[in-house]
Amino acid sequence: MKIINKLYQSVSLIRQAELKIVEVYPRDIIQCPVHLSIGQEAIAVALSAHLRKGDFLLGTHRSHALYLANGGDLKKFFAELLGKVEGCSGGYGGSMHLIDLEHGLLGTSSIVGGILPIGIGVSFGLKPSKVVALLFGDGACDEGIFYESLSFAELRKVPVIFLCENNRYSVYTHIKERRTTPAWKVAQCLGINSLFVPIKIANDAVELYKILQGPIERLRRKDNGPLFIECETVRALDHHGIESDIKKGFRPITEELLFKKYCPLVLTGRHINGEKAKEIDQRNRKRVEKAFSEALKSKSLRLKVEHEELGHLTRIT
Amino acid sequence: MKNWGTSPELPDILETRGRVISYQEAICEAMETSLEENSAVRVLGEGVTDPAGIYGTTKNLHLKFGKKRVFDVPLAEGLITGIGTGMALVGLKPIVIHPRNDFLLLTMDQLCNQAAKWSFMFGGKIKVPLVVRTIACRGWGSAAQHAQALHSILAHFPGLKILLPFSPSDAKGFILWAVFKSESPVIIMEHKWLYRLRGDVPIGRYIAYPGKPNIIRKGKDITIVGISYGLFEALQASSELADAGIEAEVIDTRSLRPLDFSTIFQSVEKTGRVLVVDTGHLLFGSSGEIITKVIEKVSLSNLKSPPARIGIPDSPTPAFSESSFYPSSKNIVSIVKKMVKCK
Repeated sequence: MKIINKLYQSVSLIRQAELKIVEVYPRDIIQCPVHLSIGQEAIAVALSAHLRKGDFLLGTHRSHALYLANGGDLKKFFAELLGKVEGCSGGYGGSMHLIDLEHGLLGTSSIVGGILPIGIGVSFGLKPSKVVALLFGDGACDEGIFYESLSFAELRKVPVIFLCENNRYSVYTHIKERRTTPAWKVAQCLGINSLFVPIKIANDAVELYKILQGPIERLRRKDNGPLFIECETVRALDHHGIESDIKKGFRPITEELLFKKYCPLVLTGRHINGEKAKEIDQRNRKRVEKAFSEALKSKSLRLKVEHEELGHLTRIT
Repeated sequence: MKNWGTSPELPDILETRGRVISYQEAICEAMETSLEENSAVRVLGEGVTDPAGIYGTTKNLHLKFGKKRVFDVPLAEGLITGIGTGMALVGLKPIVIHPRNDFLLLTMDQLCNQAAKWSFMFGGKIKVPLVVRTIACRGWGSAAQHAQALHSILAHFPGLKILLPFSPSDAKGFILWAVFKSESPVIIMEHKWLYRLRGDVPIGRYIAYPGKPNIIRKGKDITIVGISYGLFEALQASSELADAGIEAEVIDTRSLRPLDFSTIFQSVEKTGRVLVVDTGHLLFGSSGEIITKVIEKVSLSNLKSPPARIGIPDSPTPAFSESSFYPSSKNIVSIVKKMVKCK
């Protein structure tokens, strides 16, 4: 498949999968918070398209896009959200804790910033020309560990891609209330090869793919790491859940307009024929329906707790 | 004690039969054996390659094994632990060293939210064979922020193994157990004041399995359960008590997670009395946990006196007046005498 079609296919699959979550969420069969990637899908897609066997990656609580873009199994994804034994994390993690060792995803963590030093540690176990990719939000850049990690990463020239999805909001708190200097500039001050990608490129998987190509290839070729990339993007819905916090007045209407203008599905779709895009969407909807219904039918994880024995936990099914 | 960070010379309080070396020498042996026999081992921490080398326990290891395997790091505890966790996720065997356990409070997220839970969150599909060494200290003006013993805080979290070696053999054998046997995060909490304690230590790759407490001294009148350096005072007290005709059974917990309480229960069933000697604060800590377990499991009619505990006072540590601040064997003797009189 042509790379452009692949990129669109991936954005479309993530969108269809998350629209399915939006559809079924009111039925309360997904009994965990979901931090949807809608509006931010292109970043994980463009990144994953550059990753190879032997690379590793880590993500955050908002990692549906990362898991799926990186080749994660769709049925195991839904099964995890539904608390099923067949889930990618055996039904123990839920939406915020996804793992896919087959494709190098070592896990996703919901205490923001926590994956940054872990990713550096992973880089010490890499084979030559392999890289670690870390996908995190602008909230993670507020944490102290962000500075600790970037400074050390540059000191040791580790082959780590720090990819920040800046959607400007830490839950409902705007970035202007949280920092003066942009994260990419901080990285640059520390001596790191640093890029800022505006939303019109970052939300277009094809354009972002092109931008990332050179720096990631250079990172593989020689010890000139790490690499920092800040991608401007937009969160279409609430911090978690399926509703619009913009409609509730928690974020300004400009955010909604931004999504309308820079929807990753639309921007990426402009690179291919409209009919072809429709066909891909249709095929993905079918895949999603099939994977979801199979996951729903599969066995739930059931745990037995012995409250009189220190709350000892055993698995029943 | 004339120098900050120096450990006191302790009398030979442990029975010896074989080769005798100090607690510090035992740790050195374990570090060297780990690096020699497991090529996945990496050693990192603040000062591991400096001339002092973590109180001598990592001294010159970088010269022998190279700076790729033994390396220094910035003063950034969260970063250091996180690097260890990341290494552990991809097949390396990191030994992360935080020279003073007080600094663990700066890395609680990495220890308790990340490393402790990582395997569980993903249904056990990935393991975190991380080893953390840390050292509790006290004395000579260490004061409030350099004289804590934080094992009780860490022992709160499922997912972590918390080992507190008292004997030199455990000081060595626990590190080698963590390096060669464990697949989950292990925190080994050494005590600086034990560094010159001497005892039997087997040569070579000696593995000490945690979990089962060790009865160091047999007795029939009271069970004294000690944690870390608390055992030294407990053993000293037990000699003095023996002179007064009181036979104390002294038990080394060795580890808090895992901890097989049955050794303690059996002893208390026999003696009818229990005193816990801790190196940390008492309120909401390990001493309370051990006594609760005893009360839950031992038939109350067998208890001849209410359980008791002793540890550091419910206050931050003052820089001076330390000799009266810390509980000594004298305090233990006095408590035990009162308990034994109680019918």
